[in-house]
Amino acid sequence: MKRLILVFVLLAVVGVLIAEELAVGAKAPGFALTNAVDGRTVTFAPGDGKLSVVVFTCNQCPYAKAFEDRIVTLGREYAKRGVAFYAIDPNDDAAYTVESSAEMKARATAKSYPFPYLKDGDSRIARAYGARVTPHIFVVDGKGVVRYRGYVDDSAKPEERQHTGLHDALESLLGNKDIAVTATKAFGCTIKFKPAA
Amino acid sequence: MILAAFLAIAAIAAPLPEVRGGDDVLRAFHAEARIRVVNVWATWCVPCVAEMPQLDSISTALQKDGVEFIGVSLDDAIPGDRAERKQLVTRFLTGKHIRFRNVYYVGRTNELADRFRFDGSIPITLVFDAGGRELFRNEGVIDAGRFRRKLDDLINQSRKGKKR
Repeated sequence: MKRLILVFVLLAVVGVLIAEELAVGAKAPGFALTNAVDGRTVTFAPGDGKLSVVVFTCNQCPYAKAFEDRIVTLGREYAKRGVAFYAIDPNDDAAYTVESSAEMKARATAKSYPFPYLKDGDSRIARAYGARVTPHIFVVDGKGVVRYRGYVDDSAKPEERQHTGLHDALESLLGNKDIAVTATKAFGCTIKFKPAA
Repeated sequence: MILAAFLAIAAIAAPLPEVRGGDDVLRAFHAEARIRVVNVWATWCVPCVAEMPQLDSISTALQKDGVEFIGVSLDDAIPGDRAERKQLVTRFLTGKHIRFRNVYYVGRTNELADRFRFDGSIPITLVFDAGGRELFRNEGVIDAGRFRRKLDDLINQSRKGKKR
């Protein structure tokens, strides 16, 4: 029995270390993380009935910054329609001080984030979602199921956009329609994971 | 040897040519190159920048064996003035003394990811033969020793193939 438990523990550890990008149709992991803006704990309980967007982003990545205004606009627009956005910074702030909670607070305040900006201090939530880059998006329906994953849009340049992945997914879900493209390739800066303890 | 001479000249006077698709990248190689290494990177990608000196050393060491490296900068993915951004990349390459050729990708990043069948994470380094057939890929930062050994193996295989 002890050996079996050990095997399960090892599998769980390996799973955390080499997590695959969460598949569309998978159950989304919940979390309770500190909002860098006010120091309060924000809890996401998948299956809470709310359509939610989990955005892995950060302070230092130029590609994430290029999408920042777009995400803020979408967050503001869709909040009016009952969609909850959670921005999460999973980068190792011990290795990169620009990712500290103080820097996050400054960034969120300057850009008037209409959603919490949460510190994933040990990168555990990013690993659980299998997030690879910033920005990396996961749309979770009210039942807690991942319905879209990937990029915000297929280009950071508005004039070159052909597919607005996040927007289209939210419009489809809010309109009770099938999402045409449920998985796209998130492009951006690789997440600077905190080394596993 | 001819390839090494070509590359030395190219490195001295290298402007940063623009390419629009994965096939353009493959077409940018010299015809003499028997093993073709494509490294996809950007100046804003910390791990890409970190591995570049090692790639440069390997590239320089293996030129004589018919191996050519081409870096594909994805800096254009960020909105901004293209000319300024290209200058930034050129300055970066000069400042880091990178000797292998680079191209500036102005197409859609997703199309490149689809063409080279990667998930969008950079750096990625792909190795092709002269016919454009993929021989090997390294996703993420290279382990310089392992990568060099892999290329050495490919060089040896290529020589054996030539003798037959």
